[in-house]
Amino acid sequence: MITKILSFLLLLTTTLTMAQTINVKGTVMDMKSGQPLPGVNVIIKNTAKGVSTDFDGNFTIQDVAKNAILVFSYVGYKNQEVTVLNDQPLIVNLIEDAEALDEIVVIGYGSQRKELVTGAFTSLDAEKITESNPTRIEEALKGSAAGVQVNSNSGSPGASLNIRIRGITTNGDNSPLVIVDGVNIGTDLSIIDPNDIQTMDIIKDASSAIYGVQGANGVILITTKTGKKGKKTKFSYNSYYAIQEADNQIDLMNNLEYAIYVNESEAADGNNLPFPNLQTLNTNTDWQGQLFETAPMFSHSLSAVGSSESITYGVSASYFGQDGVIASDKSNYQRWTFKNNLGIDLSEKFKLNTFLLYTNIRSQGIPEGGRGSALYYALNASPLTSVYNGEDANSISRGYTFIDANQGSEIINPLALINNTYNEGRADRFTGKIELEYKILENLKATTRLNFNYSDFGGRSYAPLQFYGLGKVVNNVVLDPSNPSRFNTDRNGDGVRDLYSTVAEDSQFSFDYTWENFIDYNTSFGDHNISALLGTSIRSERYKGFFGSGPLVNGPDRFDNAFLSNTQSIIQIVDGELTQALVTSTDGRNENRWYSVFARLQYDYKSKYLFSGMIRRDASTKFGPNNRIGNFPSVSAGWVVSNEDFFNLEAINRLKIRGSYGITGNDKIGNYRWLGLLQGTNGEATYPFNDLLSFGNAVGALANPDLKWETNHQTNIGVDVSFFNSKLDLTLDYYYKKTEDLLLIPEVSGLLGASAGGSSAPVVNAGTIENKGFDLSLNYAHDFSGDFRMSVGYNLTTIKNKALEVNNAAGFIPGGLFNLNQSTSRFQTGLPIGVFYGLKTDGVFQNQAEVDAHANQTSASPGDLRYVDVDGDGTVEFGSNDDLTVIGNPIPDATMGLNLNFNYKQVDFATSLYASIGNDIARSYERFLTYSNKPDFYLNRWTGEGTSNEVPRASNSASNNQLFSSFYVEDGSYLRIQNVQLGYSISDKFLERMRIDKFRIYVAVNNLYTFTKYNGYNPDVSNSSPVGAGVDLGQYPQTRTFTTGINVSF
Amino acid sequence: MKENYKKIIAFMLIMLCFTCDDYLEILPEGQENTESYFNSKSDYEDALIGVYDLLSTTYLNNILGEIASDNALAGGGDATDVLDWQQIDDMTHTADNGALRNIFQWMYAGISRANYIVEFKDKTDFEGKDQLLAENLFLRSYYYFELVKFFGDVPMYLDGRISIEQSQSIDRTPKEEIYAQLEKDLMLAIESLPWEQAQNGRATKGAALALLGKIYLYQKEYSNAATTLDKVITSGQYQLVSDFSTIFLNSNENNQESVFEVQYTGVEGGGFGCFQCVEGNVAVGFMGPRFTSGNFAPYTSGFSFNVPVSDLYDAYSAEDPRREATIFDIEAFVETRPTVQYNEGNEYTGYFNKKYIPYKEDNAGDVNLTHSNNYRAIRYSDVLLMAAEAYNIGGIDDAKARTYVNLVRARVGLNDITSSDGNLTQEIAMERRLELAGEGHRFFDQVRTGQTSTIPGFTSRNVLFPIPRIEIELAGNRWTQNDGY
Repeated sequence: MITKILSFLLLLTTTLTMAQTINVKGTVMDMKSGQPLPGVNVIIKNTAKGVSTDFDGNFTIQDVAKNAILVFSYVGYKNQEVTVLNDQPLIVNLIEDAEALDEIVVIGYGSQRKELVTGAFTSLDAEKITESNPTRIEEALKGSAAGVQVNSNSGSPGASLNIRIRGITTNGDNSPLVIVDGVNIGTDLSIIDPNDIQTMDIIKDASSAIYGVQGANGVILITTKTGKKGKKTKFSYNSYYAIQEADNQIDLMNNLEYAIYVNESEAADGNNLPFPNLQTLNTNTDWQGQLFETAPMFSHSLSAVGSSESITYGVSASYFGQDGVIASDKSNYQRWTFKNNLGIDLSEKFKLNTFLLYTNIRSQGIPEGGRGSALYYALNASPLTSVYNGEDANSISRGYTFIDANQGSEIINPLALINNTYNEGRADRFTGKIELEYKILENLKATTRLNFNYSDFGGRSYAPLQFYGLGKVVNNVVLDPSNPSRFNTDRNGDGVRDLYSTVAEDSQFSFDYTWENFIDYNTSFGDHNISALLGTSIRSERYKGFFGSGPLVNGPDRFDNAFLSNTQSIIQIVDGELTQALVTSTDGRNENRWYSVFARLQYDYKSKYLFSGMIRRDASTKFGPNNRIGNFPSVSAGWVVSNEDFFNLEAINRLKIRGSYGITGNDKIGNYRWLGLLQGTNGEATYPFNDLLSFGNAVGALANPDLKWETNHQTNIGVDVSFFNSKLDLTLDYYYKKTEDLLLIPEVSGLLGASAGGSSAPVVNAGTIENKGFDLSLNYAHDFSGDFRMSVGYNLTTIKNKALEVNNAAGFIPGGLFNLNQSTSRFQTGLPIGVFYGLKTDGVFQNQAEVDAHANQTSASPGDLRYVDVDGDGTVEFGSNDDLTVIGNPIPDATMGLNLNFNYKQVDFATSLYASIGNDIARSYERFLTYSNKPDFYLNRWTGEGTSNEVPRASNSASNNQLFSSFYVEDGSYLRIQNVQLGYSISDKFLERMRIDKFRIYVAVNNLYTFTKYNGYNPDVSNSSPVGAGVDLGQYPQTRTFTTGINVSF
Repeated sequence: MKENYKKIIAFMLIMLCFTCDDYLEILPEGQENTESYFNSKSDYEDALIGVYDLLSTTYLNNILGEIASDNALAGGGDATDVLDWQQIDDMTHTADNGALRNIFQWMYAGISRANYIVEFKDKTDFEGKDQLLAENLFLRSYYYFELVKFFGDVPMYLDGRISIEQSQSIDRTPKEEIYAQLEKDLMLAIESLPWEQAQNGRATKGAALALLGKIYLYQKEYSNAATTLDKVITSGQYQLVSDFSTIFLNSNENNQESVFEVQYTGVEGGGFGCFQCVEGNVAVGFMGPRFTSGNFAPYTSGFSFNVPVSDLYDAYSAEDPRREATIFDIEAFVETRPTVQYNEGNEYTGYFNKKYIPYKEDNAGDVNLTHSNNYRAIRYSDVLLMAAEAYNIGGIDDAKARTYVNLVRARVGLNDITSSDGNLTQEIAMERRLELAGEGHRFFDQVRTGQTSTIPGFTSRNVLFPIPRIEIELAGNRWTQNDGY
């Protein structure tokens, strides 16, 4: 230590006493092209003294001490240090740095050198994004960006994911704003091929105030690949083929286990044994096994980026196809994308930038993710029911065995359901921009930009006449009383068919445009650097949809004939009652507009003291004239300690301390909720006089003329440190976010009449929620020799969420679903949003003495769940709030990602792990009928004193074990091996002859294994609504994929 | 440089001259604003349909009136199947009972829609307005009366819709005041309502008189009740259907005995998510036996709720045809149809409510919720029995009371009764039970007449249901809860 201090002092004295100085001249050039580089910073190391190179790459620095070190830095190039030995002109060749290119951060209406950024940003580069072959951009974010949490809603083809940046800031829509090359693309992130992305920059703190009312949930800024001046055209082709399989199945009881359980249950309920002879059970259907299959996935992506003297471009085309691991012929997804970025220098002063993205999506799907889904049926159907009954496809059963009525009137044969499911969806979408830049002065630029998204989407479905057994609620036909092997399609018996399959079609359009005008100005005086931005924006979002349905009367009764043009209305009298099967149509439309003004000022002194301030004023038609306008300011500051003269720690080559505070907004609520509107005569104000529906009118959703923005106040304190010449980078941020005036639809007094059909309570500003925590990211990269390189990335996000106020008198808003009509979750004052709230169990009654000793619990018997008498009044109340309490939290305490990359010669290896810690899951996929099948942990049920203190006895009608309680809440923590990839790049020598830059082949496994205690399919259970998150309704499992692929560029 | 500044100024002007005022002045197309409605007769007519709409939700009032009484048990699939109903059956319900909250919310939803018309009643004049407003007042009175039956004192507001702020400053109105208002409103309505309406299901003079008479009876104003109900009887508008077993058939809706009938249809589909949106009679599907297989035509399966008890079955004499028309004996049925299989369900008694048993029909899905059979809310026999009760207990005229009861008895071939005074009172009460079982009146008749000892679990608090706790909280915690809750 002493030596270090001594050498430090020595260094100081040397600098001070070194009187001998030289004037240094030189030229800086690009190593590869030999072109001179203008604007390169040349700084004398450990001083603030420096100059920039001129247009010819020349520079001169006066009075440089001999043996001083000059540091040459330039955006996109590796820094270079040269020791001054004499006054000979220096020739410095800078080497382009692929990584250094990312050191520019897109900050909204501009970009900034990373070292000057004062907000909390996370950036991902192309390599990282495509590493695990994401099918959507959300997947690329999972586990790779601190502060960003991604959860999947489903593993089905094309399924969306939820992105949460720094916790849950609202009870409404938490999805961040996504901007692609300056274009707000809306909520559908499936439209982009991840291969097209150059960088993703994520604004996590109040720096998103430049987007004002759209910025409260964070902003993801995506830059797509395009050419750079002076570089030759580069073609890339990336392709992979993958096989997917379901990553998990729920362990259910087999036929014998099931029969024993049902017998026990019936005995406990005082009934006869349904399966007195367990030796005669023949059928043992594995319903899940019947559903799951392996399914392929393909991706092809071809791109060309390049430039000429006045043009830069990036053109690409891609195809992605995925089949579902359930019913692949009826559940699949295909996407084509075509993209072009084109930048043209019209003159010295004018530049035109255009961006156009076309996406075509075609998809088919089966019912999933809830009570009517194929998986829900598969989990609850008896293993004693066979799949097929041997009848042919033209029979009423179409060959599928009926599920017995005692398994529930809504539980049907899942394969029959799939057989009767016919639908298709399509979308054609154009996203684009036309942008004109006008360089008024060298440092003053005006930009006008028109962005748009046009989407034409729709679908078609066909519901054939279907019968799943007597009394099933989804039947849409009854059997002919005179011939029960036929459908009764002539209901009034007049010899004319009057019942047909149903067709539904819809055609929807959405169009939005944003017109933005802004000027930016940069100037420096002395060491003071200023850049300023001022702009305006108008935006309109329009939607229109047409929906029609009717009976398929004309032509064959098949999906390929199921179009509205083949439908026909039927009106007739059946049993004295008028029946109507009409061709119906309806439409929907809306428009919202915004008008905004925004400004930003950025200042730095010697790249040492940094300051940024911004404000945006937004006006939105989502709010009435009373509260239409919102102002969203933010300020941030930074101190680059490592640029200070006194800073001289060998180990640390960069240290920056940052802080920011600001306000952003959210207006993601329904349209015109400030305005009272009638339902219209297609609404719910109907009444059947004379058995004919009369269509009336009534008040719709109640209005709140004083509705205003949700405001999100966020404080961020962060530090960026680079150690050992940037081998190890650390970024740590602490954040505190408080969202006020949450827009929520509260429970209101029944006196308001909001519970009438078609009406609802008004949206009010009545809640406050806070999120706080840390984001940490650590990256280490080392090149051990020319042959072996490694990099390690680790990131950690912690979240502590709490609702500070839910001001709706009841103090909470319920959500989630358990069994048929119980709620699981609450948004309640003082608790994290979406906590599980129910009865608390503390074991199972072992004997009657325990029952007697316990608080009075209705119809409790030994073997039943023992509920805690939370309010201590001596009675466990059911159907009351008195004994309900917090029994779990779906929000993880922390999530983390670990990414490892190794390269040895031509071989590369990468793996990424993701962990979620402390999140709970509510198990809500059980049907709870005596004859429903059960998960196999019920094998450990209570069967007598001392047998189990966790799983209750087999019983149904006699017990209260099927109320939502902590028995149904499980720890959902998990660690997942998200991706393992091994690649081999063919040697350069061989490729040079072929004029190929890169030829790499690889094999990969995604979602290799998940370590968890959770009993369901998947602990990554999500829901776009925060209240109801973590409730597993039988979510479609994630798929494990085995991939082989190639990357070629030339 | 000068030129550049010009350019800057010009550009800034382009940016800022853009005023937002006009750009944001857009309103949704094709949708009407609640405050600028009521411009034509059809606007009023459409709004009135909206008031009628909430009658559909009274399926729940009907079911609870039986389940709570000594006529029936909750039933269902298991002991926790619709826990709210199970608790009401057992009289263990609390102020958190969801079904009671539904009643509270839905009746007020009807009142709110009626008050929306009241609020704008003077805006536009047209022919037939008096009758339209009279129907509106009838419906509002109907909803308020249901609230008073369930909850006693409830907040009464009359002039228009109510805001959140107002809902937190309103108190419970003593039921005497509410009754006085309902009497006033109904008398006004009676003046403008016709005896017959072109459309079945609309409020008539007879319906308003019968409701008014019933309200008098609930207040034990026997003389007013007798006079008012007599007007219905002497009007000659109504006659008893000769064959009792046909009254409740789907093919015999709005029959000559029907004074007021809640209309249902199976044309429109519905689901569990929004019972108040359903245009079918939700109660019917809930009350059917759980048939699983075999030929059980003309019936269809249901959810086995609201199962009559043997005490009710035994209360009928063997020769009373109302026993078979009121109670469906499934075991007897299966003897004649050996192929039929069914699940017993919870609290199985072997009996089901035959008046509203689900018949197989071509109703839209969910077929369990959209059975089309109307609810006979006020039947002529009910009017006769109410009048008889008024004449007898009011000490006005026992002979007339006997005449009215015997009309009801004669229709089903039973002998005349001859008693008077207290004995007659007992016999009228028994006749009421037998005649009206399964129609949702029993619990309120028992409470009204103090004959509650036969209701399992009934204690003094159960003369009223609790005001939903959340509603008390939402109204600013101003209301005191009913005694005992």
